[in-house]
Amino acid sequence: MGPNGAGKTTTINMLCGLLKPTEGTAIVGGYDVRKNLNDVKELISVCPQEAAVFPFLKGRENIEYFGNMHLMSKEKIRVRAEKLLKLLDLFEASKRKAKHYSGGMKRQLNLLIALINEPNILFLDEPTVGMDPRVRRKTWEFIGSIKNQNRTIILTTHYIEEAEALCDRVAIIDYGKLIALDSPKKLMEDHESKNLEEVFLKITGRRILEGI
Amino acid sequence: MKRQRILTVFRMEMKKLIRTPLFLVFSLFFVALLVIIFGFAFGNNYGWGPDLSVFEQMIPGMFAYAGILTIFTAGSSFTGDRDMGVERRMNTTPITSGEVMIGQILAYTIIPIIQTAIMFITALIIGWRPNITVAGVVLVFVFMIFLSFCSVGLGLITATIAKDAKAAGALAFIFIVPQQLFGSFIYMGEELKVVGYAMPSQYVTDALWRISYGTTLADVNLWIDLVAIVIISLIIYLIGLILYDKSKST
Repeated sequence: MGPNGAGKTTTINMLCGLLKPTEGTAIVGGYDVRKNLNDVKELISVCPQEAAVFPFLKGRENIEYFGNMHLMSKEKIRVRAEKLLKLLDLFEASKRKAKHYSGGMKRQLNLLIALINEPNILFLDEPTVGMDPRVRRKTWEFIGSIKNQNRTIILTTHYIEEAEALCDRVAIIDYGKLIALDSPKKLMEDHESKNLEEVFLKITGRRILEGI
Repeated sequence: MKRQRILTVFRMEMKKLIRTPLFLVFSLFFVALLVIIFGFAFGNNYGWGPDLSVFEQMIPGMFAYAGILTIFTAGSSFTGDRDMGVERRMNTTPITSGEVMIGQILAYTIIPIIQTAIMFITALIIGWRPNITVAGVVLVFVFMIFLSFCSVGLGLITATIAKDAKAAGALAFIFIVPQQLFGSFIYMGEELKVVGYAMPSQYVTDALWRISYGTTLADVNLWIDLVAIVIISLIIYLIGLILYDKSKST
């Protein structure tokens, strides 16, 4: 978590190889992103902030496209895509081109694409932005079920409720620096707060005080 | 290099062409329509010489003109992928730049083959009677494929400069219009003919003219044209690729 411009997306971009770090190191799944980026890419999957889908491809074809990027077999892609689409009730819609999807559906498809390769490490950059509350709840349940499959999920969010519901550990960054990292419970205890929102405001409040 | 990834990129590029009306119209229907219109307008006009009608003299340049239009479709396509964020997303997968490049090259080899076949058949239907051998027909396709590579390279340069797909569509005409005027079917007069040799499409127009009207494979000028378009297209394609790759990493 972090205020706008704190560096959440920049951090994800560096960890998945979209942005070269100017200094320091980053290890993902045991691999240095500066030296072994190809090994990192085999382990990860990214759900970007914007719905990055091919509009002229059908929903299912979008998922299959990225399955092929990870060299999955045709049968495995088919089975996995079908299962994922059914989980988010997109199975019927997946026969239509993505350009005909609503904003929320595009974002759900965006998330499903990131899951086709069953990644060990999953980066979700504000995955529920733009979804209506009903779809958002459903997506939270879905992300929760992935978490229970022993996968590492790194999720950025502006929704305190989302962080409380999904995260085992919460990191708060500001001005590009990590300023807090712990379980939601421990963070609340340490900052004598009733909820994560209070913690967030206490830690990042200087922006408000400084009028930034 | 993994075949599965290359073929996936190739299939996606082909679906993009087939399912995007703008690309389909520009790449296939527009050029066929152009042949029909000029065929009816100039098929019986012998104003440029007694042996061939104006339309017959224009046809080789029209093939080149179709190849030039690939700059527009390629530029818009690459910029569109970037605008939608899918290009960045692909960069987080294990696919390499080389695999993407080969997948795209395959697609842009098939597109001019279909394009040329459509124009050829359309022209024959409306009365074009070239004096051409089977080897000549094959050479026509070879020239068109290399012109397509050149146009894809210029499309990549366009995508590097353009901020979005709409801007790319407009910017592409910087490369299209000079080639259209000096290196296709438009006659700009003898004094401006020399300008044409700065245009990649001129070598294709010149070669296609020779092939269409009875030259043999022994014609040295034909091979000079081929060497020229091969060298120019490879250089432009590489420049486009380097610039575009550089723009992606910044």
